[in-house]
Amino acid sequence: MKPFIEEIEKYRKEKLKIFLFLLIIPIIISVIGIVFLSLNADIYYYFIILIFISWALYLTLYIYFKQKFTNIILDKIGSNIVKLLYGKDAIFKSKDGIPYDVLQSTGLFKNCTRFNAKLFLSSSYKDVEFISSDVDFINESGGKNSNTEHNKAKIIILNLERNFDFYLSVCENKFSKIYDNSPFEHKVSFESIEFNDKFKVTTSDETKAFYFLKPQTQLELLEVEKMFDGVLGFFLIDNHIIIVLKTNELELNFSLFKKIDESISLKIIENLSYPQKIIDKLSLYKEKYNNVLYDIKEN
Amino acid sequence: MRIILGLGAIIAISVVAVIVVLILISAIWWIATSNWFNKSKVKIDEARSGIDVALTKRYDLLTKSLATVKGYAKHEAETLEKVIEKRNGSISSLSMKEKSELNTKLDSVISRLNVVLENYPDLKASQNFMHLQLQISECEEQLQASRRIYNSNVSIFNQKRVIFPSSIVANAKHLNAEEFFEAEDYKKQDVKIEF
Repeated sequence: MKPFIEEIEKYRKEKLKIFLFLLIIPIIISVIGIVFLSLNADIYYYFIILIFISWALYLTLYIYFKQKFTNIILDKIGSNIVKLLYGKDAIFKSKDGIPYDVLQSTGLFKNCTRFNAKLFLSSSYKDVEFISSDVDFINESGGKNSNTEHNKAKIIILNLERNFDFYLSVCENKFSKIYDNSPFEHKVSFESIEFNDKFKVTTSDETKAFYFLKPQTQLELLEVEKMFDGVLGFFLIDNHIIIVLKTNELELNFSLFKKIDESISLKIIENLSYPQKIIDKLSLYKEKYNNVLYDIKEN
Repeated sequence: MRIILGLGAIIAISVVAVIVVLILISAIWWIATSNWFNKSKVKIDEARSGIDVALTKRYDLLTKSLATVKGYAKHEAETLEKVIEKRNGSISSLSMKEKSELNTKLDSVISRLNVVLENYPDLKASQNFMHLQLQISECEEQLQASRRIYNSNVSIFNQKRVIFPSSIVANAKHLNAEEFFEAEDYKKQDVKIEF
């Protein structure tokens, strides 16, 4: 882990040097302005305006640069981490996310007034291809009591080799704000009372739903729900699995003046390793999910 | 023209009204419960046919596998074939107990077949045979799923059949308890196979 953190720290120091060097300009202008002011020269007010403009420019530059710096650092750390976690071919883009159109095309999510997505990751783990990103479904209500409601989640879409050719929706009962109501009509109850209390399951094929959600898988889903401390949606659409997790949003603000250390990378690792954890926890790498030979052709 | 009713008449009408309402509620409840039992029966039949399909598939796949094995180990394959001898009639005509027994036999033959295969690495490595083995294990999982659906439907049906007040409707309709597909219990008894 250390080498790339050191490299990024070196990058921060270089930028800090440039930033401190640029600080000389408003300082010189300020000093000259103060000298003219003390000499009571006729042109001192020009310098007052100049001092104001130079500091305003400097602060604007600082704010702009701070945001850009945060994105650059996040991209640099993220890219290195995804390469460590998922290999060379992993793609990470801090500012991009899964497009709204892609999510809407699944028919699972309600329309929202605004949508934000970030921390896009595209890769594969144990030969299971996936994309993931942090999303925010924002609903704004107008009128006198205008209200903005954020529904933040981590969405992971897995691409399985095997086409199960049916739909399955497992939603935590209390979490219905972002999902379309009962996308699949047939409601199914399972043997586990805890599972039935926690999740509402709808499907297009009851037998396949029982096939897919074995008692072991039900336990694993309950464990995943506890692992992420919250809301979970698990959907299977033919050969795609869409997982919605309620996770803590990754809020990172890098400062030019603050040393970049391992603790920051640990936070990013935690966020970007969710697909890995999910694939492992639910054993989605198994041949059963990814071998087309498992399909029994009807004679 | 105004009709003035006495207290006795008002009480009588009220009692009749209450009785009519009670009869209506009871009739509606009776119809709803009766329909629930009918619906539940249909669901059990659907689940039963799911078991039949999976069990037939499993039987057919195993027969195909044994036919392939015959080319390598004729005696062993024939012995295993005898265990799951040709059935008269389709699997769906068997009782649940007989289906469970057949399933146990299939389990034993599959595990015995795996032992036989250890001596024939060429056969084990053949693509076609591997595909057949994959499909057998897949079929096993499908059968388990069908069994879980069937048993869960039977469990709900049997509970409602004995619980008051729905038991009144069940008794009136002469409904019998449905048999479970006891795969696990039968698995405990091993079928003896000697080559």
